[in-house]
Amino acid sequence: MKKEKTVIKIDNLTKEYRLYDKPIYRIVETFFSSGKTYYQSFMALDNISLEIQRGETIGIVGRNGSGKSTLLQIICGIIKPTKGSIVVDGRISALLELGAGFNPEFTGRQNVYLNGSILGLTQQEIDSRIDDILSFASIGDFIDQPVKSYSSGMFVRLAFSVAISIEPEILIVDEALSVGDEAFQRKCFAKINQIQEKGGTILFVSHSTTSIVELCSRAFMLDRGELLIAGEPKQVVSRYQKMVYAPDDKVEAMKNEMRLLENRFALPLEDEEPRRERVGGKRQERQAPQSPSAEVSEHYDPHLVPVSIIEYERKGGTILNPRLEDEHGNLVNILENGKSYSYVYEVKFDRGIDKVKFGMLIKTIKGVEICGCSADSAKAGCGTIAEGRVVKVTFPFQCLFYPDVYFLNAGVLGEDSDGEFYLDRQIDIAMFRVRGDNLKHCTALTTLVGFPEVTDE
Amino acid sequence: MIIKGFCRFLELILKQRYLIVSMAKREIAEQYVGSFLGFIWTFIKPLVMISVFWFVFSVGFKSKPMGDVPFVVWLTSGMAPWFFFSETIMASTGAVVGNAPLVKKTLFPSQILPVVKLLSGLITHAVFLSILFALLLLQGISIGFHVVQFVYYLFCLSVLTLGFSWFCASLNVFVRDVGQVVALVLQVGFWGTPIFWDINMMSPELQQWLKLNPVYYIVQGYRESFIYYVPFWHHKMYTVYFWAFTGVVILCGAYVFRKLKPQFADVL
Repeated sequence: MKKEKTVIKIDNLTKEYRLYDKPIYRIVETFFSSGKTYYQSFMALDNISLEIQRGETIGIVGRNGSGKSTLLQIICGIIKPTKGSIVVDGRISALLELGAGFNPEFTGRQNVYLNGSILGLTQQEIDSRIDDILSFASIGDFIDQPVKSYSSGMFVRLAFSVAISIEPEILIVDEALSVGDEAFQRKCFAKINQIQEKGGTILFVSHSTTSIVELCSRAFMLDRGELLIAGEPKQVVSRYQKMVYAPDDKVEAMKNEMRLLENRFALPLEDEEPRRERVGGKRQERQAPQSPSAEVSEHYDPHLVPVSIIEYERKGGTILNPRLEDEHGNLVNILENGKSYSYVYEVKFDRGIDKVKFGMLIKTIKGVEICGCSADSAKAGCGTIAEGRVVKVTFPFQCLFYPDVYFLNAGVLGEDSDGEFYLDRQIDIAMFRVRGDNLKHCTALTTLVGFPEVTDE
Repeated sequence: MIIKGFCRFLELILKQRYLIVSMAKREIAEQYVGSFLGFIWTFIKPLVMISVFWFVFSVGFKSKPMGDVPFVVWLTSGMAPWFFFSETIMASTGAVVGNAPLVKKTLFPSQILPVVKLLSGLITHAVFLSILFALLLLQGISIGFHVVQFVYYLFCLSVLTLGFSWFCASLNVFVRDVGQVVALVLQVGFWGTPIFWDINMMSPELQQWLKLNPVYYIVQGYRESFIYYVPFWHHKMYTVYFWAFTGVVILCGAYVFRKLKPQFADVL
């Protein structure tokens, strides 16, 4: 491994946005400094210090407005910090906004040349790379059509191909990869891996926590301009997720807790007592798979509750206490992959009804429905429902989900002479997180496939 | 201090010459992309404009020939530098704002934008001049070696224009009124500069005041290059005044741009 070399060094960096009542004041203040201030200040970044070594892949997470993009813009040199210093060593290619400077009236090829020269390539350099660029973008004959006729996916592919073609030493990506189809995303990730192997440094901002864990060697979490924690991506991401789903009044407490963490800028993979011999500030190497208790020691996180429950109008029934239980009936919401759990809720009926169906659904964050159930009360053996009756409904399931966060729906259907209708229906009523190690071989939503056995034939 | 910063500023621009040229090329292509006549439009616009002026002044107002040159030739040689000047400044004023995505999202040397506008304006200017040459030939006016002198005046014009362009382009980012003000000032300037009226119509005192307008130095210079063949060193004092004025303009323009540039991305 190459000797570690600092490529980005940021010291006590502060970025203050000045909000002026009238734009003219800004000019006045730039040239004539008087004692009076005409602005309100807004701290986009507050006293950030960090170092990034060559060859690292850094993920940056944070809620909206936490200063992620500002930080990237400063690293690129697009905006100047108000205070503090930043030293960058290496050729940067930034994908802050794909296709900035593309002119929709021109053909793809013309735009490649112009964009290339903006990125600092000469005509000859682009000539020698154009084939690579075109094959990576794979937009075929459209290259000689005006860009305005492109689909958004084609546009992004072309822009990404150009940006990547300068073989950057430091690649900065701001959520640019969330567009483009699956195949292209894989291709981009492959390209990123290639840059990693060549010893390039990558910084990327993403809301996709899975790709951060997958790709990064280290992660930063920003919140309201403050660098809260840094370290092992898994650790950072799990704390980040915890905070995102926490109720507003709890966030401050959680932030304080993080501020007090020892090693908060070099969080190790385990969440045990910090060991004495660990040197602060040094990068942690990836460790061997951890014990199941690595992330959070309990199986229930009170902050892991959905923030956007959608309730429909109730028509004679109420779903109560939606929850997840393990085999022993304990309340859980952090699930181990491979174990059996139950999704339980109670229903209180405010009217008598002959036939009902109990329903549930498990979805991903993006709303992909993974599994659902709609069960007839007659078959479930509870007969007709009298007014005022309360029943407990238990759906057993085996947790074979890929480690991520999942949401649950619940619904109770009734049937009368007018047909079926929902007695009560609630969307995103509960949520859980799945964790599991040694699941790296699984690539999609579920972990139904085991590790392959390979034998000589 | 200012001079040193200015030199570094120029050096940066020189480094970006490939980008400037390719952006200027695009700039020109942009005007006509998708249009049927394409580049021909560059000729049509000045031709129509000159025809209209010729019609109004020579046919309508029966303006007398200026000495022994037809009015239209005299007018065109004065109008050519003015249009280059005003169109470049107008285009530059909106240049940084118009390229906001580049300035905000990429590492982009925004000081080249006015240079790009200047360069692409030169193409239109060349067309204008070729029409002027055609007129000179049509009128049977001999074209001597003195014509080369216009290159000097073109250089003067470019430096002056660039200074104003940097100034307006950077201020316009923060105060959008600048665009309106510039349009207004240029409108007034067009009629206030002795372009289609003879400065000798005015009293000698007033002439002194009118000559403070640096653009008149160039308008007069173009006419002396194409028509009267008076070399520029015949106006020693005026030349000194012009360069002093222009020097201040370009230094200030570059200084203001350099000072405001770091804040572009903050407000765009």
